[in-house]
Amino acid sequence: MNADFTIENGDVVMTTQTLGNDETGVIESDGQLNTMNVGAISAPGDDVTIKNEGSVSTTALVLKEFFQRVEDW
Amino acid sequence: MINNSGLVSSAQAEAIRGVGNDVILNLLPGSMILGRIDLGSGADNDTANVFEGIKNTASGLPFAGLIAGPVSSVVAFTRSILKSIGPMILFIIVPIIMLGMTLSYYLPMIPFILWTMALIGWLMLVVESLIAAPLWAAAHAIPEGEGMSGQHGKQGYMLFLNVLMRPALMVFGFFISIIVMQEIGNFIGNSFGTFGAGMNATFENGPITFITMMFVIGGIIVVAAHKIFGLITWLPDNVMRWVGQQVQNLGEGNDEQRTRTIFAAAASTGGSAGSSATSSAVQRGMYEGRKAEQGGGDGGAEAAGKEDQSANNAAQEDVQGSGSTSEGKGRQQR
Repeated sequence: MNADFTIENGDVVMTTQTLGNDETGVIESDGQLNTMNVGAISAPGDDVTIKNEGSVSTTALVLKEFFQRVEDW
Repeated sequence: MINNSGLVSSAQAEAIRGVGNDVILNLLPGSMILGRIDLGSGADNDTANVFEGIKNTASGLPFAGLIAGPVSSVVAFTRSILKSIGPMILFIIVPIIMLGMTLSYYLPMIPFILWTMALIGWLMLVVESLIAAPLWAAAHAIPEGEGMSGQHGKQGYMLFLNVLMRPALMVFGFFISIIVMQEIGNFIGNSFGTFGAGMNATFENGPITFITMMFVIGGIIVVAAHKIFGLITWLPDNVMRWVGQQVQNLGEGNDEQRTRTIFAAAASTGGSAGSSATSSAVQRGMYEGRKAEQGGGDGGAEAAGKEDQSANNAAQEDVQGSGSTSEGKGRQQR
């Protein structure tokens, strides 16, 4: 489903975000968009705006756990 | 448009993928890229602006595998070209700037310099006449020779005539030199165009021809200005010879030459600094080029990123330099 999205400070989103025409996605600092095995942002539309000040990542399950542990440390 | 100043990490698929046409990706300071960003394929015009200090931490090499598609190689190629020819451009631009400064500032100052020196010379002549006046008066008392002034006082009248006539002759020389300069300037411009067209008729004209001709015409104009505005001092020095007076040269030409020497010294000092900076930039560019070649096994994309910092430093140093110019000897000393 296409829609604008904003991931605020401290939020963690683990589902792929899809942007259509003229839509905007914002990941604020300390916001996380983390998906496993698939693209984190899919933007097939034109004139899409993505502003990332946080983290956009795709990880395998093992790596995700690794990064999670690193972050916890 | 994608503005990224955070982390983009992909272990399996691209973190950002399938973006539409004509995407602009700005990797801002603070960006950390682990893996790939897919701007989409096809015949669109995607643009990636990579700001200073961005590295692909996954590969350890800037740009390597950072951006999918042809964008990364285009960016790297453009950077590589600019880095290679940048020092050469500076090497050419610095002398051109000095020539421009000469034509802009020194050339219009030539009449002023010559006029000022002539004025100072006349004032010195007035002082000389004041000091010599008692002796000249005493010379009238010597009875040798014919006439009221006698043999020894006659010369003083001619010198006094020179003192009186010199300002008027300077003004005449100044206005005549302006008229002559306009005509000679038109002659030089028209004839040089014809000469240049004839000289270059057998081969293609390019930037080297243009720059060389610019230096030649600049030199001709400066030398011509020296010679023509030399009328300001030439007339007072030589007109009085027509009535039998041998007037000594007051040295205005030497004074003007001293001014010219000061200007040339300043220009050559700036030129040395510019040449040094340019040479340094050339050497640095060669070094960076060799370094890029050594690390360039994965293609041209790797060549640009690591050079960003040194390139910025080099550019900052280069713009501080300036070049040198030389001019032909102008008005002949009499």
